[in-house]
Amino acid sequence: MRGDGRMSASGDKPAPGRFTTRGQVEAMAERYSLALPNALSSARTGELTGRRSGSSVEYQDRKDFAPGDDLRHVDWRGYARSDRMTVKLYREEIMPRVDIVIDGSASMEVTPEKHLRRQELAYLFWLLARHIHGQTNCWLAGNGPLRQLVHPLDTEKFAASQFENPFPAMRGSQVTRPGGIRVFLSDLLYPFDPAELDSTLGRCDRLIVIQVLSAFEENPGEGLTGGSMVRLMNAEANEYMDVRLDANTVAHYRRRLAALQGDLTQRLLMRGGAFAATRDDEPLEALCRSLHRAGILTI
Amino acid sequence: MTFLNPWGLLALLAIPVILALHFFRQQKKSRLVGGLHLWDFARIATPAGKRFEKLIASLPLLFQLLAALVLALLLAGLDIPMQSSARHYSIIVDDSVSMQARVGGAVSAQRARQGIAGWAKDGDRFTLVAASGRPAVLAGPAATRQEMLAALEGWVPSSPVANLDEAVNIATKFGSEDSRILLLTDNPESAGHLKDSVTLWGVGKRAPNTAIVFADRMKTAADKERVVATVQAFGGAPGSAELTAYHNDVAVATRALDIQSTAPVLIEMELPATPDPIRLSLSPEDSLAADDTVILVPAPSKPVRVYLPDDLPQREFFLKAVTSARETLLAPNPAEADLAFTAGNPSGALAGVRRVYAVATGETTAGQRYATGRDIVSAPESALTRNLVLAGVVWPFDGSAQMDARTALRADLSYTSIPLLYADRETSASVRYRMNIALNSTNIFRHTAWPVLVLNMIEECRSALPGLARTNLRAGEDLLMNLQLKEGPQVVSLWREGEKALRQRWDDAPPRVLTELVPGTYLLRQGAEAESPLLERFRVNLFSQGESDLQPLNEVEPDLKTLEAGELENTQRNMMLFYGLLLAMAICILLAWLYHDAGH
Repeated sequence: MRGDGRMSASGDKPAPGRFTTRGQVEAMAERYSLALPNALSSARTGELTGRRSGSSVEYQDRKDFAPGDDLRHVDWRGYARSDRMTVKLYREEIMPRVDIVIDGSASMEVTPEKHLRRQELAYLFWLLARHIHGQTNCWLAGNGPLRQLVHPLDTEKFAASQFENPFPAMRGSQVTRPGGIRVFLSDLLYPFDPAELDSTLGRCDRLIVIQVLSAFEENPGEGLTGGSMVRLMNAEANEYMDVRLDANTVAHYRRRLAALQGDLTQRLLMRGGAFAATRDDEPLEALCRSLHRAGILTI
Repeated sequence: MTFLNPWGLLALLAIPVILALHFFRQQKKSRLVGGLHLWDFARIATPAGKRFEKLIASLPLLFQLLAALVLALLLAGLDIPMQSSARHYSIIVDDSVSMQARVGGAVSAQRARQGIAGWAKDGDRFTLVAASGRPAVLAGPAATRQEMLAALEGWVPSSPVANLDEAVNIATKFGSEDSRILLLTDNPESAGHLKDSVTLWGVGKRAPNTAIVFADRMKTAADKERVVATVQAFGGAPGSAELTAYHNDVAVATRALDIQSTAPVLIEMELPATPDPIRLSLSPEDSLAADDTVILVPAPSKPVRVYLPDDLPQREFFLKAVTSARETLLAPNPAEADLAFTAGNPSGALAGVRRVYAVATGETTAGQRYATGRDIVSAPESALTRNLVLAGVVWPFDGSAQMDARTALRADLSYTSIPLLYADRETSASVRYRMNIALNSTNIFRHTAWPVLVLNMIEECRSALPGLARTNLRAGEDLLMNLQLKEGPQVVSLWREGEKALRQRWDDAPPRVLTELVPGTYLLRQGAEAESPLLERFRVNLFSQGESDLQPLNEVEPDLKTLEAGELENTQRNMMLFYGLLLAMAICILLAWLYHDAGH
């Protein structure tokens, strides 16, 4: 749905935010599709053709019967013609469940661009999930229990929360249900144990984690004179840190950030997930290309 | 507590500068970030609290301020002087060359050294003054015994004269009112007038001595020159002696001297002309060796070219006087002349002549008057009237010429207010003199004053010619010089042979007179380098009869009981404080650096 650059938070009402790139997001959503996992363990039967054999009416192939196969699909006629007991295979028709978990902490709003990028990604994945007729849920992780959103842009209705780690709030919530595709949008700049990611969001068929960073958070050395003193203000806590931003400090910080990203990439790949990072000044088209390279989107 | 250099306290301005730097450094750029845990490694320790409290609590700042404070105190020369008292003695040693006289196997200067070394005590302080022509402090003021003895070891008396009075004046300035001065000299009688203020210590010994008291050389022909020397025996005639002339250490002439009295003996030697120095040496060896050797450098050759016009009145008298003077040539025309005589107003052809003497035309006028010798006054500093005795001279002059007194630049001879011989026009290249004298009615040509006057005119002109007036001088004698510089740097330097550093340097015009020259061979160079072009060479020899005469020398034991020491309040810089401050500053800088670095 194209409009005047503002969109409705609940689908119909105009949103109070400044979502100026809605048209571009929708164009990207037309161009790309959400990559599906090889197995969707908890998908309901739906309109989407799965990659596995399933129970649709469309005949796909046959195979030798093996214990545990559904006796209803045994090709009795073929068995009568030959001694082989085969099973008809039909194309699977699925309706995957997609959970979009949005980090609602204040750290996601350190710059207007970062805030916008979170909106773009949430809206993009919401559109992509709808394109596959998935059962789409948006969740806002803030103080207290997860809040379910009717529309991804309903985040504008809620003030940013002053908390760091969203994983405790997710425990026991619906996003920990097994199966489905789970998209987690966060900057991941808070201290957390990667095992927490597994234990909370990891029990799904495909976990997609998108790290959203401001340009400074991605490369603090840009635009600063060497050795200048900088006070880093934590957006989520009333604390700051004075650092001397010289080349060594920047390099050290970037090594630590790269280590975090590398660790997450490896963890998610091992369990069929995907990780991508974006900075808030990256063009949307470039972002989609990098998501495609990461195997998150397909064309 | 004193500050040796109070201006150094200006370094305290560094303190507000450091504070300002810290203050503005606190005003950092701030950035909002999503989290800080990735930045843990870069945390800088900054104390909590308000900005001012942070400044106070900042250890690096504290140490930097302390370092700045200590640096300011060091630059200002903070001192808490250490006071101590000591006895102080002022000592004068005779610096004249006679102190080198060796009598009985010992030299006077060495006796002085040994005497002082045996008397001076550790813990006392000394001021040692050398009484030369221009007395100087050798050690001190308030030198230690070791410093004083070290200065004495390097002391070589070589002055042609000892100015004891001036030395006492200098030594008195360093002593207290009631203290006495110890004066060591080889001639205590010459210091008898100082007995009230000094304690005399005679270290000399009477001895006979034969010396060269004068020598010079002059060119007699193109290939010959004459060396003239005067030898005198002091304290008894030695009978025989020998004077040898050496050229490049090769004896070229020897004269045996039969000296039977203490009267000076004049020796002349005819030698081949040479541009090299000639050394005269007197043998046998006697008590004082310094006056037995003389080095003579070539004499300057500055002939004066004189132009006498054919129509000059009484020309034959001019001619006779001119040709009797040394090194004069007659110039055929004014263009080649250095000095010219003319009658009446000088013509334009004489404009380039260095010295022009215009005499009256000689015609008797109604206003003619007469001055006799006793009424004619000479200017005291005039080179034209040197040795001029005008008694008996009748000097007729044109009385109406008194109007010229207004145009006279300077009068060398005058009658009341009327100038008789005077300069009325002077440029950097030439001087025009007028002689207000009626040549046809004076008796000056038959008077001894005439050749003297002309000789003075010629010598005054010669001194204006480029070069040195003389090249072999007596120590203490002034040197007249008129240096004409060539193309190149207009810098003149004076070097003494045997020394690596130049003695004097003149960046502007060099002086016309050099004074207080000590014995030695000197070189005048155009430029300030040792290889700069040589302008002139001259030699200063001792030639001091007073120093060569060792008869008055005497040994006198001093009454050292009467030698009262001055009380010297010795104030020493507190070096412990200095080094302490230095150490404190280093520690502050180190701590400031350490704490600053530990902040990472």
